[in-house]
Amino acid sequence: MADDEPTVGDSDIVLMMAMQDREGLCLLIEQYGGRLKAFLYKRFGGILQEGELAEALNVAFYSIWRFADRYDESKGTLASWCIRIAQNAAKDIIRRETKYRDKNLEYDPNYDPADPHEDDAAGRADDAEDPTLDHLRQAIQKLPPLQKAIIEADLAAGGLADAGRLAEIHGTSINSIYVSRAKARETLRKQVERLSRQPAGKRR
Amino acid sequence: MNHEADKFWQKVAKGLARRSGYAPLTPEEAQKEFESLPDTKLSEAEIDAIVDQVTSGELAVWTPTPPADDTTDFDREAIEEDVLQLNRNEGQADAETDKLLDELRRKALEDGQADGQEDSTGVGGDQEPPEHGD
Repeated sequence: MADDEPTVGDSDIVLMMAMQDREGLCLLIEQYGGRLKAFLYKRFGGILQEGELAEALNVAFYSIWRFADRYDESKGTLASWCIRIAQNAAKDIIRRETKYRDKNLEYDPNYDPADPHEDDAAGRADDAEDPTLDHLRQAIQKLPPLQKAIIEADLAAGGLADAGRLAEIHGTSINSIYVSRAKARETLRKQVERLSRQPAGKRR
Repeated sequence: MNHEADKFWQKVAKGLARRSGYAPLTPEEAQKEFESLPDTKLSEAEIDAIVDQVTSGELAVWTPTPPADDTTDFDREAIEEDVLQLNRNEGQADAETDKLLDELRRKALEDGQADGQEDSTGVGGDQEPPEHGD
């Protein structure tokens, strides 16, 4: 009977993976793979290409597999740990940052693949009520397509998106990425400057 | 280029990233996000492919490419004309163009200079082929 079958919990899966048991990895992917994939498509579908999304999913599972012994139940569920690792994997691809993938981090006891990278500029900030940000988001939508794509990639990367990758995607030169990025930032700065000169009631 | 624009960007990037849903998730936010996602299972083939890559440590790296329909900047009319010129069917032969091509071919094959006489560009004056070291 199905009710008599032993259920495999998160802690069993983590333990199996920590012992490099492939079965543990299979169980994890069966259980969480669909939602991790859905997360990447939802959050990064407009920034990463199809193949890059698949790469992000693989990199996320690779990190989970490598560092399964670092999972700490007191810091959240296995599902939330996996989601945060997938987010980092996607950001690394936008930045073409592979140091966290390649570096020998097994010997760094403090390394947790779910933690935001130390150079992640999109760290938490206390600006939830700042109306300028809404205005800026609208201004970004009005930028020329290449400038808009660069700015959105930078935001998703939590820093600077890789110019080489952007140049490949948009069929242009790395230099034109740099120039377009500078132009976009200048346009946005001027928009905010103009806004700040308007009386509060007339701001649109 | 613009130091002021960069400074401005540094100031707003964090907040903008968070508003756009790109800020690092806390464990609580990640849990909420997970619960909101559709639970679509991966296929056996997808699972096998991931397991093979992960356990071997050989992760495929994707090289981004421009989208197939990203050709809006090209002058398609000019391309089509060139393609027609290059791929003319036998039945569409043009007598005037053929005559001109024949003439150009003939000129190119003619050796108008006697040996030892240089032409106007200074080519063709050698009677003997040059020796090594010449």
